[in-house]
Amino acid sequence: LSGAIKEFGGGVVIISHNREFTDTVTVEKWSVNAGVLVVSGNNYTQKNLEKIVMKEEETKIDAFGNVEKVKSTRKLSRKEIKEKQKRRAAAKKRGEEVLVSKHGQIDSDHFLHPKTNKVFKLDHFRQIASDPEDHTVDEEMEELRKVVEKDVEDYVGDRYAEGVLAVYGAQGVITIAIVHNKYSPSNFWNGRWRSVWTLDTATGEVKGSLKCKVHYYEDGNVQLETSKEVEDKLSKSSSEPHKVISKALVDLVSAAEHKYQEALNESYHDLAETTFNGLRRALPYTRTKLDWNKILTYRIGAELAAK
Amino acid sequence: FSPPLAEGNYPSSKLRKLELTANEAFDTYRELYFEGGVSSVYFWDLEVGFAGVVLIKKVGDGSRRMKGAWDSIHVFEVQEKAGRNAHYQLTSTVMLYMVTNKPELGHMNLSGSMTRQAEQDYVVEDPSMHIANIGRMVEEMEIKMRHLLKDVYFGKTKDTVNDLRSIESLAKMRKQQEMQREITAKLQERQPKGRSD
Repeated sequence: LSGAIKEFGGGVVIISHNREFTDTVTVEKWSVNAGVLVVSGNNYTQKNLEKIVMKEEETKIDAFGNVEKVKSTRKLSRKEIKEKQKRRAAAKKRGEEVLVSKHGQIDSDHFLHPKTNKVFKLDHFRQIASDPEDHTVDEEMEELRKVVEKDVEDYVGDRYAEGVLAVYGAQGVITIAIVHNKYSPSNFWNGRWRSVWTLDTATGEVKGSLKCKVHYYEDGNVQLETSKEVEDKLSKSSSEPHKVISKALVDLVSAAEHKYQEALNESYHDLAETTFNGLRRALPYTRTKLDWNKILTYRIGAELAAK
Repeated sequence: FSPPLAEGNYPSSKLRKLELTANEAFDTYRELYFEGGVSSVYFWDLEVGFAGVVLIKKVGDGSRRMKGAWDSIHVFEVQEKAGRNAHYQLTSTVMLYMVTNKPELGHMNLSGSMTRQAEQDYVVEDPSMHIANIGRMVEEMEIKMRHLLKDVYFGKTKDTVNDLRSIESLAKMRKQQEMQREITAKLQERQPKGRSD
């Protein structure tokens, strides 16, 4: 019988007390015992089930294995928000939040933290960093990288309330990555800003990529997605002192990002006033709502000819 | 139906007449509010009462390098009650899509959708009044949703962007806040207690 069932190409419902029978015929087993589901067989790992639960929690990346999981199921009281901010500010001072990007990627699981020059292993799923190891430094770039990093830190601290940054220097290219995420699922919104800038120290060419994404979904679903590419050139030559180059670079970055943000705000204004109205007016040209009793006697052509 | 569909769902002849009038009425509605676009109204019979959908689509003209589209889907159900009343249920979905491409801006996509419901009873003295009643409900609903989309949703996303990156120097803002606090404190000191303005 089990042979016949295995060969059968369709679905089969079996009710049986014989475990040997069901084990031969089935590949995977889902057992429900006292309200708990356990899956076995076929290399199925329990890990997959955890994913569904994990999504509800906010996790914070921490460079040395400590994970702060914050469940946000209710709005934090003012006092709690202040405490949370204080903790984050202190954590940032200790340098505990780390940026993960493809510019610092060593392999699929290992990333570089340029500030401390350590390579750490990243558990992508839990977003925990662990096993820090020393990394060989690109000596030529390290001086400039450090100066740029300091200037970018000042810039980020001044514009991005909780931004995280990383400055990489390798093979003649300085890469700046800035990320600022704001999550507030209890208030139905999330947002993230990402900017990546590269400076080719040989040619002085600067390239930037700015991306912003915002999602607001209280009783609705609205998303903003923007991206901008920038290309420019430093007016300082590579022979100038590091401090000068760094300042010129950060000034350029700061000016470009500022201009972009202004353009974004202006576009919002245009969209609201012009495009949106072009799609649907607030009221017809009569400036009143429709008289639906009369509408049945309107002749479309005649009314619009009078417009 | 085009191409003709033998088993297509056709409304009864009485309902069909209503459907035709409704299409004309909503065409006018569409011209007045959307100044263009396309609309269609479909009715169908239910076991008791009838139902229908009003579909409106407007695509922006692409001026100022902004592409946009508005889609409305209003599904309603009408139950005639004893006497001269009818009960209307409306479920409306509005989908909005706005894309801008400008040199200083790069690419910006602001899109959204929302669904709302409403229920209302109206007096119906003859069948054509159904159209007026449904029309009023749809108009109210679109006005409300348009307002919500524009002020709440777009406003909120814009605020979040400016939260992500501060246009003003944060140091400058903190200084201003400090000053404000000092001034308020000083003012409170000057005012004798028990006075209210």
